Amino acid sequence: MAGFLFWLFGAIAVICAILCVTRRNPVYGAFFLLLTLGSVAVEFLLMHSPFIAAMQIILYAGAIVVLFVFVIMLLSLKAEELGEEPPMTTKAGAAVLASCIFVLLSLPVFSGQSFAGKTTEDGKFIELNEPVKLKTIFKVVAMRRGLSVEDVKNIKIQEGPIGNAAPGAQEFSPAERKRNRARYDVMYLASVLCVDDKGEWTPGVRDELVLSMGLTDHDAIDNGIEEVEQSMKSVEDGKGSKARNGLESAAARKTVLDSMKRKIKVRSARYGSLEHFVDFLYSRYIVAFELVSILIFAAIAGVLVLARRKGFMGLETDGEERRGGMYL
Amino acid sequence: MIGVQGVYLLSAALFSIGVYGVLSRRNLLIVLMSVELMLNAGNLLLCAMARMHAGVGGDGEGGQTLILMSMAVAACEVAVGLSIVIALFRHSRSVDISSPGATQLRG
Amino acid sequence: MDMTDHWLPFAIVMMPFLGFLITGLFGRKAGKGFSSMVSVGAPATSFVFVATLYLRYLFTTQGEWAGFQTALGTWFSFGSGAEILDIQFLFQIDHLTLLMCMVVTGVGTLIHIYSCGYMSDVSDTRFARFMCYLNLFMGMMLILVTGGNMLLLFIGWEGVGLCSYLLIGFEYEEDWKAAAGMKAFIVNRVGDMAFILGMIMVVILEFQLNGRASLSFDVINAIGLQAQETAILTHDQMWLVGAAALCFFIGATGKSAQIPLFVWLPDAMAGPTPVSALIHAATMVTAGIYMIVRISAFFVPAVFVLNVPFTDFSYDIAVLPLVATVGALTAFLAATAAVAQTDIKKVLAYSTVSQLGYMMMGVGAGAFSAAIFHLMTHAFFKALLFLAAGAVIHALHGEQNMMRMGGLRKKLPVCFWAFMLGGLALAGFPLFSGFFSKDMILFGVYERYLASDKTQVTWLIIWLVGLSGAFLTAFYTFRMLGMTFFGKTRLTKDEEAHIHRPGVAMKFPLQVLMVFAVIGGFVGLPAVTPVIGNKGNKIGEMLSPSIQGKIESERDFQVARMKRIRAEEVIETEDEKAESWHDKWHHIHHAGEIWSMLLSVVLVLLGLSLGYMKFFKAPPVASADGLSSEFFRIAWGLDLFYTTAVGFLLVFSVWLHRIIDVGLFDKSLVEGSGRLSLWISELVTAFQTGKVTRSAVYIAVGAIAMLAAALTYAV
Repeated sequence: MAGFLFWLFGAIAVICAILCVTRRNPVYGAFFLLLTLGSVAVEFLLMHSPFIAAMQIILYAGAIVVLFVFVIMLLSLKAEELGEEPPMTTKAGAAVLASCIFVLLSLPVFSGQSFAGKTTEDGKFIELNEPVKLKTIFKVVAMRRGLSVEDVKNIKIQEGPIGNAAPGAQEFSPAERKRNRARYDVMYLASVLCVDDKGEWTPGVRDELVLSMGLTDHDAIDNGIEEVEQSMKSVEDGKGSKARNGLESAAARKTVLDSMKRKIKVRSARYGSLEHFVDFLYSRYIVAFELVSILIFAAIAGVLVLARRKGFMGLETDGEERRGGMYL
Repeated sequence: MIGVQGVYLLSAALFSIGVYGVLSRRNLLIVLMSVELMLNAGNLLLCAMARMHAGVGGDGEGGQTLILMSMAVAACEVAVGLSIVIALFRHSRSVDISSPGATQLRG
Repeated sequence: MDMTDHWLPFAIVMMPFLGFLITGLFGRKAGKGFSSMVSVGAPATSFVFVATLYLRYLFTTQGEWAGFQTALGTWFSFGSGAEILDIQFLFQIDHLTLLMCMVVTGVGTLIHIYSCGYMSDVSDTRFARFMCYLNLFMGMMLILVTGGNMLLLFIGWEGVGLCSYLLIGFEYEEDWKAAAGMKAFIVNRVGDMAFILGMIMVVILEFQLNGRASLSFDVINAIGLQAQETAILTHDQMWLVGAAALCFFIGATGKSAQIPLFVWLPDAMAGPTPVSALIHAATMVTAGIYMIVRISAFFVPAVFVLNVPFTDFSYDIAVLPLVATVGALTAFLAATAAVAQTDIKKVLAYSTVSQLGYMMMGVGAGAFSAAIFHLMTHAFFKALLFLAAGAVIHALHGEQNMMRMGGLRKKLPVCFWAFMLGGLALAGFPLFSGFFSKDMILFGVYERYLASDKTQVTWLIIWLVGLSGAFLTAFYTFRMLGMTFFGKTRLTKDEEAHIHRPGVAMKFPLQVLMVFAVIGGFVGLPAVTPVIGNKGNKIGEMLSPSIQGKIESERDFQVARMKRIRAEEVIETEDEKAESWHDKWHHIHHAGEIWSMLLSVVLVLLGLSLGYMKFFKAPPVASADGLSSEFFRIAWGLDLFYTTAVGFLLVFSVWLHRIIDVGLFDKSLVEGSGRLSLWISELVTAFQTGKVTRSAVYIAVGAIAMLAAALTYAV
């Protein structure tokens, strides 16, 4: 559903943008601009940034486009005042340049390369709503807990269900056995790292875990937790591995998983919300915030000077006497 | 499912359309709108990246703040730009940036 | 060692400079009297200083006075480790320097006195200028002979070159005289270039051997002595010794007017006659001889190995025999040229070249003291001849052509006697000064032939060439004398009436020099009955401590000589053998010397009588000998060769000027850079339209470029 909405509103945004820049009448331009901005607001919402989406609507649609429309109405341009339509060559040249930029910008997407040369471990972009893999969780956690990069790299977990070692099942080859052994080691490590003796999440780790992976999608979280649960189960079933497992009783594990689920839900609900914003905007980013307000103040002053002055940029117009000083 | 790739493509498309508008149009109002489009494309990508990297440098708060500021700057820019449009119109009775009045802008 | 020793060399050198400064700064305003007093006083004071030193030498038991060196301080010193270049202001007074100083200051002072008379009819300004140049020249020459290292010598060397240029072109209002000055300067530069190269090679040698280069003569001579012993210097170092010596010799050919660089000296007669006397006869041109004698030990072992490029062939050119060969050729060539001249000063000029050739010949034969001896006597009689010629020219108001003289014996008796005595000395008439010195050189050459067991015919040929030169010298001397002073006068009545008789200032130097030209040779009487190992005459004795180079030890010399004799002798005891060798060697030695002397006397008398017969009675025929005479007159056309060669060079440089200077630098680089910046600015201006859309396009293109770069270089 989210994917469909994303592409739908993306298409609307692009079409409206094209219409916006090609209309001769600025009123149509402003209208299509409004539509584009609204579609982008929906995209923000889809990306779990409700506050930004709200700001988009309020600021752009509510202020900027209104300002545009206001100016258009004020000028009430006649056809000859709109200026000449640029020649085809100009348009073609602009199209070439614009498509160059488009191609260059979208090249990393097709080549799987990002600008900074940073790729995910699979050489692909992380999908925003990708189900979180256990391996990734463990790796992040291990890194956060101060394991070296080398240690983390050596953690190797096969995707998919961990091979069951139930009695009567297929025999494992020595290599597979060794691999399983490694998995159990990692599980053990993860349990030690993430969960304390009482089966509670180690303080700090949970937030890191959740936020590191952008675990904001409920489906994803569920998938991840399910996988964790499954692996735990395999561990439990595994022969001779019990001793290594820090979480011996099923009850304890249940507690852990429940707690995990709960915390993650709380956390993901917070992302992009106003509460989330307020947290850092009034603490770490207070200076930047204030600078923006100063900028707005300066802009207001500039607008007043420009709009009220007779003549243009200090250039005299016919016969009108120029008066010195600022008009604030 | 929304991938970063999709956001990326959308953002690039919007930006390029903005560039096309700035380069091809002579109506200062439309040019300003195109600039708004480009800024929005940037915001969109910022949002996606903030989410993608959320947790590594914090809660994605840097990216989110940047979007907010970019919006504020866009608002200021539009306000000033539109007042220039008005001033230009008063001066040369035209909003054409290649009109003789506008070419006096050169240093 | 006296306290005065420290400042005396300095004072000797500085007096002429003081005179130069005072005359140059105040002479113009203060008038001729002041100028002459100061400018004559300065070298005279130097002469007095030198004379005190000389007297001290004379009255000190020999062997005790060994000369001295004074370092006035460090000139410059740089480098580190095994490559330190440390040049001192080192002045050295030893026997050789003393003799040179005596000649330079003595003859120089006389010529200064003479100049006061000779230049009396020019303006005060010109007079002061002339005298201050003369003083500067004296100072430079004294630096040259008192300097204790090559670099100080080079200062003097260049300084006298400069003064030579200034004085030859003294009457620069006439183009050809200015050109002669430039010619002297430029031709000398060729030699100086080689000299500098030689110094660089010596510095390299010193770095390798001592790790510290001072360029002092002692060190250079020490290197030469090391080179004489086998297996001390490496092969490459030996090559360096040979190359450096060759370079120094080329430098000497420039300064001392040898083939192929002598062409400047005849032209240098453009200067006033005292200049010719001082610079081009008595002192400056002897610098090359002095320099070689000074570092004679370095020259003795020098063998230049010429590796023919791209082949395995290499030729060994021993430098000293080369010096002798060049000297002999120069002596002969210049003598033939002198025979064909009509200009009285040109005759003297070529005779100077010829006599310098003799000196070179002596140097090359290893008869260093003989060369210096001849240098001294030549200074006396050639100065005398030039001054007398100057007096004649002065008397005839600038007439230099001998064809227009004649019969002046009665009109100018002092000049005549000066010319007569000087001419006899030049010709080597027995018992005159030139006789002894020239003979000593010739015998030195012949001795080399004897020493080689009569196997090296080269030395015999050189000796014969030298003898024929002696014959020619006698001939052209009497030719000149006859054409000028004998026969009927070819002057017009008017000219005859206006003959300008020389004044006291001009007569006095003539009289003094006359005495020396006659008796000067007696200080170097040949050792008729010398002890073995003592070549023998006073001058050789005096100079021997200063002359480091010995061709080979006397002992080897004699053994080689005696081997042949011993084969014919009955076996004797060792003592007896040695005794007997002594006697026999004496016998041969003296026989050779006497034969050589007799032969040259006969040749000289032959030349003189031929000259007497041809030119004393009959009026001179306007040289109608045609082509051959013309060939000799232009000194075998060496000048023509240079003119042609320089002409080609000139065409080449004009071409270079057009292509490189005008084409490459002026048109392309200089004007081109201007055009380029103009073009660039026009290009950039084209971007500045002031159109907003245009600017937006630039921004877009820039953004594209940056994006592309980011994508390309992203890791």
